[in-house]
Amino acid sequence: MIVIHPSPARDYDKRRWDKFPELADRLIYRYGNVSFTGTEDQRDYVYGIRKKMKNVGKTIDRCGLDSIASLAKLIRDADLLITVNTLTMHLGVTLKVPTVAIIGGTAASVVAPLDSELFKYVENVDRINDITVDDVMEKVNEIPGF
Amino acid sequence: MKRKNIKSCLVVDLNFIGDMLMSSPVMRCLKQNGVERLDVIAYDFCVPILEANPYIDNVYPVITFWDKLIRLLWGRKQNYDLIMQLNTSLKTNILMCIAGGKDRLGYDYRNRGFLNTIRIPITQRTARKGNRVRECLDLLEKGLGWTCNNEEMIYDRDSSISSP
Repeated sequence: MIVIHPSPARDYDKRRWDKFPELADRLIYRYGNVSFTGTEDQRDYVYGIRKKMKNVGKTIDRCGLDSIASLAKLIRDADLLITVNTLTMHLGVTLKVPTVAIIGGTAASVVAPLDSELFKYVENVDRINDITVDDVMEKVNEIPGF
Repeated sequence: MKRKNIKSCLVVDLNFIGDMLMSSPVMRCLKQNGVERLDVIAYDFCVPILEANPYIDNVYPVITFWDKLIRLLWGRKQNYDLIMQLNTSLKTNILMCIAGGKDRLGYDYRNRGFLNTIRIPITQRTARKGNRVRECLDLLEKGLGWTCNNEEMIYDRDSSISSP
């Protein structure tokens, strides 16, 4: 199972990446279904991403889980987590789930472990949308088993 | 010189929810260095993360400034051996002073830490430059002379602590 958490907790434009539809399609083509997570407030944002996808039928909307514990359980069971710089990124690292983070707004060196085999990241502090889908897929390929 | 005999500690960690995970190794280090009672003041939306940290004894959620003031006035009666904050907020340092404590530890950015008894100079505000997890642990290492090497963040849902 691949989990994608595309939205930061607050309206941090520098942390929002605009290529999740294409990324999710590429991941589905290679690996199968994708689950999207987010808060109830982020459901519309996730809907907007899914609407732009070609393989939306292979996605599951898991927004609005009732607690952080439920989110943590979902992440713990994932084979791969793709996330922006937000709580889910830290949960992925803490729970030792293979994680690829797309980091903008803050330097990765501040918020991320830089030497973990299970954690990979792409960063662009000021222009997160310059990060391409190929950049992210390259990091996915570096995760052992992917 | 390594500080010993810190048995009770209050951590004031007024940050956002992801930051709670990054500061979680501090709680482990405090307990491993002899703290017997470890209490944390944090924003109420952070409670689920703190409740999953088995090293924390009590979580005191706050929302408004007045919550913080009341909680720290209450803290005065607890006579903590150590009160510390993980950021550079002057307001929080003032509140910590109100809470008393035998010692108060914090980073000192532009002299904002002048009310603390243990002040660690820092040239930038926290969470700007260095790794945040390391930055939190460095406060204990530099302030108390401890060694805090374990940087693994903590989320253990099976732990249960009280949130009175």
